[in-house]
Amino acid sequence: MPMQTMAAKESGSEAPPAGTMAGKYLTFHLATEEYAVEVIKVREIMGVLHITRVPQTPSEVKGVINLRGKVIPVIDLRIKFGLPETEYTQRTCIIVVQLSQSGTQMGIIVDEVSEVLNLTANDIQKTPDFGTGIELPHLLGMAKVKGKVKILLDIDRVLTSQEIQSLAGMFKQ
Amino acid sequence: MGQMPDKHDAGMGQILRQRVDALAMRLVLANDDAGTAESMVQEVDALHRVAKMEGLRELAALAAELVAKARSSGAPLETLSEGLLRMQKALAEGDRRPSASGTPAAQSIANDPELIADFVLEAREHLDTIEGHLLALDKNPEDLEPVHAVFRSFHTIKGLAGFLNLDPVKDVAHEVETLLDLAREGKLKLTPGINDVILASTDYLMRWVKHLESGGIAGAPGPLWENQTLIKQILACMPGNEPAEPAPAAEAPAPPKTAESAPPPQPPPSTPLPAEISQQAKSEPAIAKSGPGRSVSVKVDTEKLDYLVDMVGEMVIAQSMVSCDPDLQANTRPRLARNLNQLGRITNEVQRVAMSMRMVEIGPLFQKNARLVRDLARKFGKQVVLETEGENVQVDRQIVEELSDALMHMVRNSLDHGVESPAERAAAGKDSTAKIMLRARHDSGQIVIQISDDGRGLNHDKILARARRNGIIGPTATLSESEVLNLIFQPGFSTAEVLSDISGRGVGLDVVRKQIQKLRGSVDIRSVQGKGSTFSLKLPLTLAIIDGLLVTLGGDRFIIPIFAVRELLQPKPEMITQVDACAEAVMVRDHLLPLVRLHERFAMEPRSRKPEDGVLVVSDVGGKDVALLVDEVIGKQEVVIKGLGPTFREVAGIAGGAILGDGHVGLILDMQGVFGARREE
Repeated sequence: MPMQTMAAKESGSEAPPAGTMAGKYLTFHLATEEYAVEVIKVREIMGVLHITRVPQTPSEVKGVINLRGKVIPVIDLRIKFGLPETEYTQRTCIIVVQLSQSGTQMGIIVDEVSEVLNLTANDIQKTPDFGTGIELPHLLGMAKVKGKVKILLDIDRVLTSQEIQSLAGMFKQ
Repeated sequence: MGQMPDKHDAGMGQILRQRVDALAMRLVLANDDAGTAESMVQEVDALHRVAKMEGLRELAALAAELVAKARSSGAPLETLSEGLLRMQKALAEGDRRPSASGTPAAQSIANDPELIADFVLEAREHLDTIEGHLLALDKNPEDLEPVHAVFRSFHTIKGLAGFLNLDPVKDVAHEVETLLDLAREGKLKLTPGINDVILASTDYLMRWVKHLESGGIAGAPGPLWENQTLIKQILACMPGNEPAEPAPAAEAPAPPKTAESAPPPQPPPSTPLPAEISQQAKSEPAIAKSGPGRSVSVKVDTEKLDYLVDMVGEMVIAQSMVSCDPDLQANTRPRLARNLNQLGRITNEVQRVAMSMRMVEIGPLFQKNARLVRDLARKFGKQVVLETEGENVQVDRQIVEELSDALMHMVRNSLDHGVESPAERAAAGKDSTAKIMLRARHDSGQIVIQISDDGRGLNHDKILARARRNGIIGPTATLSESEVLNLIFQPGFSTAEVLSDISGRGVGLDVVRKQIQKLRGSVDIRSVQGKGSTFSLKLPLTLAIIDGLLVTLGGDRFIIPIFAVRELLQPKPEMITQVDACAEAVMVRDHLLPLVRLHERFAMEPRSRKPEDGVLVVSDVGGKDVALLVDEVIGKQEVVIKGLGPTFREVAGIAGGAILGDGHVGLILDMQGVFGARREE
């Protein structure tokens, strides 16, 4: 585990400017879409195991799990993105990611993990402008592979900038 | 021990030795004048050149060092006698084991970082116990047991130091040992004055330990090598000490006697013969190996340890998963069942041990302060005893380490400002001996460390005046009692007036508070004027092992820290009173306690909403009894608290998580949070 931590630190310091986003991505399904996170941030993929609920937390926070003696929070990405909740199945996975800034680990629940893709700079496009009022800072961009669109997530932003703020705001009342 | 590259010519060695011996002889007979010293230094310089030519590097280095030292020394004859002795020893050792290192040379030590690490570890342990015993001795000088213990410790350190050729350490340890030997035989009474010297020796040895620990090279001469003043002090404590003895004899690291042959010390023989010294040196490694206090500790990287604990946790989970596996549950063969049980027992034991490795008792931390109190009290002419309670409370090692300075600061503060002079105390009708108490205990999921004194207490008016003058508060601000007291933790609350000269040395109590806050704890003061003050440090249990009460609520399990729990009972409906729309109380044995239903507090679905189906956990929260309604109590379990990380820092009522026996996470309740009694800050 110390080695993993080091890897995360190396990767994490720089914010990814467009053009350097090429690299390996882990893709997964969520409802009808396919998303991707940088492989370098992924620590582990596991099936859904027992999750302990933590009271008084937002609904997307499913609770905490025991990851080899460590207690880490688990976020349901469907709820986070405002998608309808579904029952967990055999294919439902927890992807454990390591956040760059704090080095903390978090689990995200996704419908199904599909594959690891090697994306070149040519595959990746900037997130299109959806018009005023809709900001998507948690997206790195979009990639088109074999006619299919993958949404590239800036997982740090997904889990921190909004996550922690909203949580903190909530508990302070 | 590394092989030394020295080639050693016996014949040349013989000549050199004669010359060194002759020099030593001259020194004994010498008059104390500058001319003699200089001529002898020149002779040593000549020896240095010969030794160098002969490839006797150790000896050459020693001689060179001696020349430099003697020329810069105020008392060259003393320096010479010490250096010559060392050269004699080097020569003698060289004869005995020509290929091994025979001097306090850097090489042998540097070659063996492991030996050094061993020495550091062991010496440190002994030094710690020495302090404790000496302090006990201060209280009860008649008790011989501490003397024996201290003697053994110094003896072991001497042996180890001899093994590593750490002569300055060995010499000091040896002298103290001699002193203690006399005390053991009742020929010397250990007065506080003598204890001061022994403590000073302990400090000296501790400086060495720290020097070595920080990678300092043993052979490189530095200020640490200067032990003569100390040795003189030690020798001055001996009965029948003869101050008229010529310098070299008094300097000589003593009668070449080991502990086994323990005749009471005669005046040290003038020039010790090399042969005798060699004998002594020879016997020491053996002592080191068979020494009574031989420690069985090993030094382990904390990162490794943490990883081990994590992995053990995983093993426990895997083990229980295997034994709960339906296929195995269906098994009817007794042998398999028996073996599985055995595996379970062993796994649990391994886990228990692994968990305990991260924890240390708080006792040694208190011990450090005992020493501080003693020294300061003597310095200030105050009479103070330090009493401790709860030394065996287990605290996370990290907390102990980070708390050390803050605690010492507060004890110093108490002793300096809180405790009055004996005369003042007598005038106030108090016992002339003041008392400072250090207490540790678990309380509501926290560790509480209290520093209390029965001194004069804090003076409100002075604190207020001071704070106003320093602009910490406005001139018209009105403050509550505790707010006034808390002003002393403000940065910039310089204390020259309220506090006496020594503690107002720029480091204020604000530093203490910062440190405590860094450990996510808090400080609280209570003070009664004329009766004393109490500082309470509350520290989180992060990583601490606690006994928990495992309870269920709906399908979830929670852990209640057991030290807060007073009793468990099954409520009857008539015991419960609705106080108003959102408050309930329960009558327990004629006491009306506030009642909180955990499911309401956490907005969860309980097994049943009827109180009589559940269990009331009566616990102590901040000094008040409260009752918590849960579904069921499963039992007691020892758990390691794990932080939930930044995501959940703000969740009120949850102190952390713990891995339960089945590998799932259980949440640990923070009772103060549950009962909404969270303190400000």
